[in-house]
Amino acid sequence: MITRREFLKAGLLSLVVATGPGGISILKAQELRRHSPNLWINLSEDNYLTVLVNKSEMGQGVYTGIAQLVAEELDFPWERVRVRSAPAGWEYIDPYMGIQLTGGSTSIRHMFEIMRSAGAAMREMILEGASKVWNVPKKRLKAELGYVVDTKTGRREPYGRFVEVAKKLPVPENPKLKSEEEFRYIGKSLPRIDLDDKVNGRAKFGLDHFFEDQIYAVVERPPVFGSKALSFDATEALKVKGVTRVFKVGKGIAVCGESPHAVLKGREKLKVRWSESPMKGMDQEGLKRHFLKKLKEKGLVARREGDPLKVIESSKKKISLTYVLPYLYHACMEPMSCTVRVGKSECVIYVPTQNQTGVLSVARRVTGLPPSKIKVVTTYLGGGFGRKSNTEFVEEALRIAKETKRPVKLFYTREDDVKAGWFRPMCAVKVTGSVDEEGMPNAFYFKIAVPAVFEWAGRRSGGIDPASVSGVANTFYEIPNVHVEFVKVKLPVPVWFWRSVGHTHNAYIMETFIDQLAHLGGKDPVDLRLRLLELNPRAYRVVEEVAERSGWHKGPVEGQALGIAYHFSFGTHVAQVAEVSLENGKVKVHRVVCVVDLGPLVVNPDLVVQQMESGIIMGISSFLYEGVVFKEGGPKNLNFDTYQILRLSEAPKIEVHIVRSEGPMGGIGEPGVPPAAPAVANAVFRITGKLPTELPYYKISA
Amino acid sequence: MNGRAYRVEEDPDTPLLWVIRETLRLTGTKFGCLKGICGTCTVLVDGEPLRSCITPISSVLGKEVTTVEGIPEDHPVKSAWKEVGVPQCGYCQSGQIVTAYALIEKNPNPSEEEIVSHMNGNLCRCGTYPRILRAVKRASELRRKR
Ligand code: FES
Ligand code: FES
Repeated sequence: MITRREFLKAGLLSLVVATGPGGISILKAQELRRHSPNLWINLSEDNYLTVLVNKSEMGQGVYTGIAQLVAEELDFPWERVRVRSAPAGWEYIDPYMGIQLTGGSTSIRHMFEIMRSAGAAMREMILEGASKVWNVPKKRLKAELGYVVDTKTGRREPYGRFVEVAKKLPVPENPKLKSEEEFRYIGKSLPRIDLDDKVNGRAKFGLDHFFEDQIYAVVERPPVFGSKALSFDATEALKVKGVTRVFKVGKGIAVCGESPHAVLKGREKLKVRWSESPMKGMDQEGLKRHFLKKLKEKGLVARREGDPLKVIESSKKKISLTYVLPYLYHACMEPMSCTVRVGKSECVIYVPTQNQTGVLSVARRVTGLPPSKIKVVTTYLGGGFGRKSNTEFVEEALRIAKETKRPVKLFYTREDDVKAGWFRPMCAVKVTGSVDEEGMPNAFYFKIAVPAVFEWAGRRSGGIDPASVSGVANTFYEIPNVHVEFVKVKLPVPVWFWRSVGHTHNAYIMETFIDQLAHLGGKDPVDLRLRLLELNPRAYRVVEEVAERSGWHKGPVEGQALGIAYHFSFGTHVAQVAEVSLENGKVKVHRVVCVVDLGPLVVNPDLVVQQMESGIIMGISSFLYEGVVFKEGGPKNLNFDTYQILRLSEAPKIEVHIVRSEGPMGGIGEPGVPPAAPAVANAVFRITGKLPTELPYYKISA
Repeated sequence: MNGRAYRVEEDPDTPLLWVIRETLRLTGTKFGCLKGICGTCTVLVDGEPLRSCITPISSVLGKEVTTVEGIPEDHPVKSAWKEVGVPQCGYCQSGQIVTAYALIEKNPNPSEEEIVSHMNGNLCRCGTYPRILRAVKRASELRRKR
């Protein structure tokens, strides 16, 4: 835990990024009068740089990217850069979001200028300090990899030497940022800053902190969504050695004890009576019927141009498909977990969270303590994918700690993690379209019945859920007659953001349907996309380039088929071509070629490649295997034996090409996901003549 | 464990996983399923990769347990892992590294098929698979150079 005092002690130059309503400014820590620390970058006398990162590291590489921005402008040796997670507090909010949260593939985009400016300001102060100490004009001095160099005499000394003097200097208002030609790190694939710790088992996750006197807790959750514990009998559970307390928490029953083994064993002996739920008896077929019935209701129109229904009616060639896509589970390898200590005057929370602001507000509500007495330590996240921006597990941990008056390690088993829900919503979608005499699409009608994610997240009530139509209502495909409509489905199954959110289902539908229209109009899927994207040069280019790189026009090798998909999400254009074969009904994806355009600058190309690889594998995984199966109102595939995810033997070779463009910078954590499933599906269609409109491709037996 | 002898007092059926993590506080070993399905909790017992979540402590008395912390930092597997840049979130990686280590120590020159079948039980939600494959191949090269 970092204290203000620790950073203000002698021998540190600490710069603060103040993100007030008046904009963003950079100050010295010493200038901060207010109560709380707000220190973002720190340079020590022994020449180490510590960067406090206000974003959560969940594998996407944000600690590396942000440190890279500071080290770039400061011009500092990478081996001497350290990162720490920033505490939770208003001082560390993302100024563009107004909260402290990692999501929407925004971290680098939002922090790009801020962190660079902080690094540049520090560099200027060090140079100024050196000019004073050496008594030479600042112009003559150069900042070079942690050393101040006198360009005339060649004299060099480490930055740390000037920290004491620099501390007394004013922070420059608009420090000059490097030009692209001067970049040393931006654009370079520096190794991840967390690499060493992650290879040696040193990286700390949600359960890796120990409080003296701690206990363990698990919660027995309702087997059916929409139900809650009415009463329980813990007689047998309490007989298990090490089990100390059993009580209600939230909708379930907490079992607490001296070891994880004890609480798990105790929980098996617990008897709970659950309340009735409207979901009772609901199975997979029932859910499907429900969604299809909702699809017949009148919804809200998100976009309308021309008169698609009339055009479709009068066109000779038309096609209509109904898709049903399942609830998807995030399956972070690290299940939800939280380690807390709640005292009378202070509370400490170790948590793998994407949402520090949310954690803080839950902690205020549960403990009644002011934010200044709540310390949140963001650990590494063993995967996040959106799931860890929810805070229900933090609330449970805090309530248990409050009740037991002991520090608590709350952990979810895999089964608990699924039973908690917060899935990517299931949806039913009707899509109709037609082509004109030339085979060009002339009308597109899209109606989706889906739960409202943003409403579940408390970010909106009523109206069109932004996730429900994302990637469709704002598609770049130029089709003259368009209708996009949303029908809200209300069920007690909690839904949440799942890596790329609405784009997961919408890209699947949009991209497979475009291929169907190409087929209908006798057009090549790449050629058709290029025609429809003529007005968007960035989109056009990634499609053109992926076709070239994958050898699209040469065609597949014998026994294989190629499938293409393109999608724009989170500011980034991605096109992918999948090489697929089918052997005894088994889909084999041999290779995926991916072209990505995330704008003019790429901070760390290898991290971009990693995110594309990761997204592609998650997308293929969801296509082939994933879906929560409901029986009797609850999820039945509760572990990896039945909720399968892609394995090493099924992972394709992946080739990623990054192209640069003049557009604004895009995000990278999510946009790799959406095109992967439809690219594979389009290839499957070319082999079998049958498009999978219900996913997953393989039926799940649970 | 990792070259040291420990005396612990536990229920005999306590999974080795909890003893490693919670009693001895070697937190490099993680869990993902607690049912022997995902490979996240893999450790070596007398050189054999085992799933510590379903291995009762009573079954490893007097045996040599190796966790990710016990593999030398300059071992070819760890060096290759860094060179290729495998980890993303990192959570499954201890299990991956321990499993790969067991392979390379036994069979310093595995074929691609051998690598895939040996590593296939270790799940990774971040999709680091293409790099795992590359890293194990690289580790085998480094190992043979030694
Ligand atoms: S946690 Fe042991 S195999 Fe999954
Ligand atoms: S690196 Fe995240 S689960 Fe494998």
